[in-house]
Amino acid sequence: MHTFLKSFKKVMLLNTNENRTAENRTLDSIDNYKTTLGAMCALAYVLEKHYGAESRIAPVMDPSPRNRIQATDPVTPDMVSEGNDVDLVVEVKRSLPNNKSGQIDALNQIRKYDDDLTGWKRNTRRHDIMLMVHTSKSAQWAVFLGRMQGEKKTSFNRKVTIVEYMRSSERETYFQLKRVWGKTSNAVLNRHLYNGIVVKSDQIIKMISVAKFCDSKPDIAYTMSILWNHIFSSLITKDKHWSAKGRKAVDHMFDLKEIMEKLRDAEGSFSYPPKQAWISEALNAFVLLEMAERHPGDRFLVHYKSVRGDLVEYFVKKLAKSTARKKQGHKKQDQVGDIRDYF
Amino acid sequence: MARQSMTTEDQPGSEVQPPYLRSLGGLEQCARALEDMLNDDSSSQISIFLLATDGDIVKMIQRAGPGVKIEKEGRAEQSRAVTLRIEGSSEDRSGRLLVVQTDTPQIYLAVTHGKPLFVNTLPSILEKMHPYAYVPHFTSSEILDMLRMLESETGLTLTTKRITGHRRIGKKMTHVRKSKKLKASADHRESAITYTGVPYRESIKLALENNQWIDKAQFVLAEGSDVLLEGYLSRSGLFKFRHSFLAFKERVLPHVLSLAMNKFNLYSNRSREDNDGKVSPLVIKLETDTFDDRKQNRRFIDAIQSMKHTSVCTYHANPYINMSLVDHMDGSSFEIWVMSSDKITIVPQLRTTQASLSRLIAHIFEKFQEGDVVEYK
Repeated sequence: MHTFLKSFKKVMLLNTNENRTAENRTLDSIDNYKTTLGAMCALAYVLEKHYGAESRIAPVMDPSPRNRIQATDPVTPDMVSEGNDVDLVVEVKRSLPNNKSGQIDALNQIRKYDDDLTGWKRNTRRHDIMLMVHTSKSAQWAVFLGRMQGEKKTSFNRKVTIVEYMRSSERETYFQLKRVWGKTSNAVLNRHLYNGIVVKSDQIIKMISVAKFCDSKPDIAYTMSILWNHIFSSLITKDKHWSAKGRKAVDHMFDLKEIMEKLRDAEGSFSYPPKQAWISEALNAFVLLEMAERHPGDRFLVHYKSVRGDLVEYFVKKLAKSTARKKQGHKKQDQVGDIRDYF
Repeated sequence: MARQSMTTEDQPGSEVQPPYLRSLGGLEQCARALEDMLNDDSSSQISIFLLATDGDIVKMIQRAGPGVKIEKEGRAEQSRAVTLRIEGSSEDRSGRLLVVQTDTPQIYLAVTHGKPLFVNTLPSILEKMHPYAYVPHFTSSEILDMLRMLESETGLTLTTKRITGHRRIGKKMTHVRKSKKLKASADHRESAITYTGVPYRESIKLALENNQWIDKAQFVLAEGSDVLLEGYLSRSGLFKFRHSFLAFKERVLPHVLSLAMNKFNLYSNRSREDNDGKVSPLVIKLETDTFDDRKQNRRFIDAIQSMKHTSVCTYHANPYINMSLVDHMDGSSFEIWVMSSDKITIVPQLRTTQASLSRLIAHIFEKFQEGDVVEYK
């Protein structure tokens, strides 16, 4: 009995540790996502303030037939900015792959923007390319691009620059943008970026409170939290909320289309609607956690109520538990959708 | 002249009610009736709640449930008044209430001479009008200003009978049973400390020096040994008076109404879905660099997580704070940011009601720290 208790405790401890690791991994992933969004907001803020630039997250643009990488399908840069004497296509990278083919792919992702793209809002004729890289990888990227150009393995017809970004918190939290390689066509912007531009988070609080997604898939727990706290809540009537007060579940039938519409309503001038596939996956995760039921026609009956403790923590723990159960063979047959090996 | 509609209360056999319950001609008429009642009977006490709404007060009252019956309705010029009969679970918890519109049209006074048990049930009844009407909360410094104003404007002496302050205490460390380990309890205990029989300035100074917030102030306004008014002011928007109401009504009430109205305006039109997606943050400016001490981050997060009827997620806890909160009372949602040592920024999301914003801010003030609420610039 004693041995059984000991091993039971060990298993429980292992489970707790696994949950803790998954939770930390999720929180790190969300933090990275939000830092990237914050850096994009910081750049958009600077370009708007000093160059009257209008920025967009992930606009769909058409390449010219001369595009060396992708001449037929539309391209979607992470961000574009069009201002007075500053026109940029921005690609954001958090890392540089270790293997050669991965590096070539990453390079080609940038090279496809070295083209006369169409889809600009203003009369933009020639743009520069800016690669925004997290400070932890900016030196690697600078060496890589320098080497590729030095060895004549790649060339650009447009100006290309690497700007590193970092978030820092001392007395105040701020984002720093610093040019580490290459130049833009605008000499003033070049100089400022070389010296490093600091944007207090407080200055971009409106933008970062609205821009919740960029053109990269976030952690599923993050998408679930956005749906739970901001979208479901606003689609249920005030009176329904009042009658349940979060204590009882409000059973509400949501339509995927209606959710996507609400997400578009939630957009600001500088934000990006998440992809339907991400939302669909998050809705299926609610089904997996028995917080919703899937109905025909992409409809979901959500059992909406308050969640005690931290919402993200709750989703991570429940997803981990559910995945563990699944691995043990207790597969849920019903309505699991396409949640595949989340952990 | 007041227009009144006949109701069951006017029918023969009904019990006689104090005149203020029949004063549907506006606040002035009601105040005179209250003053007469308090002057005539020194044991009488009136309790007043403020109520803020820009909706139809009758419709708001109808939301309060079947136990709340409208007995009389009246309208005089700009002012509207309604007398209610509230049926509680017992006789002590039942009573009558006059809801009268003030000169500040969005602010009403809910007045009763009912017993303490009845008065205690009123917050939960008024809460049923959420989010269409809500009781505005006040801060320690606003309560202090009201006392200061009452003394200076009347030229009389104000002494505190009792000031109740609370100290915010961090997590309580308790010994885990059968082990010597200390464990932090999730419960934030607050110690209630009262100061009695001292001049109000001294008692409040003592409370503030001890890092307390003022919850309630019970005071006496006197001329020499003659007690002219006994009063009670609380952060939760409940005021009580004995002997007289007029001094408060004339000297302080306009200021109180203006405070309530400023809050009402400040919290209004924040919803993104009603304002073409416009983002309208509010900032709580703290007097001190509280967040220089990183332990305060945890305390703040715990405070937010302790808010009833909400779901909360903390995306980032240290060194800066980013939280998201949905209020299940009405579906309002917010992003909360702490990015500097002396500021908390609340960013209303798609749906945000005044009542919910007021609830969130009152909760932060009560559980964490008070500050000045200002427009984000």
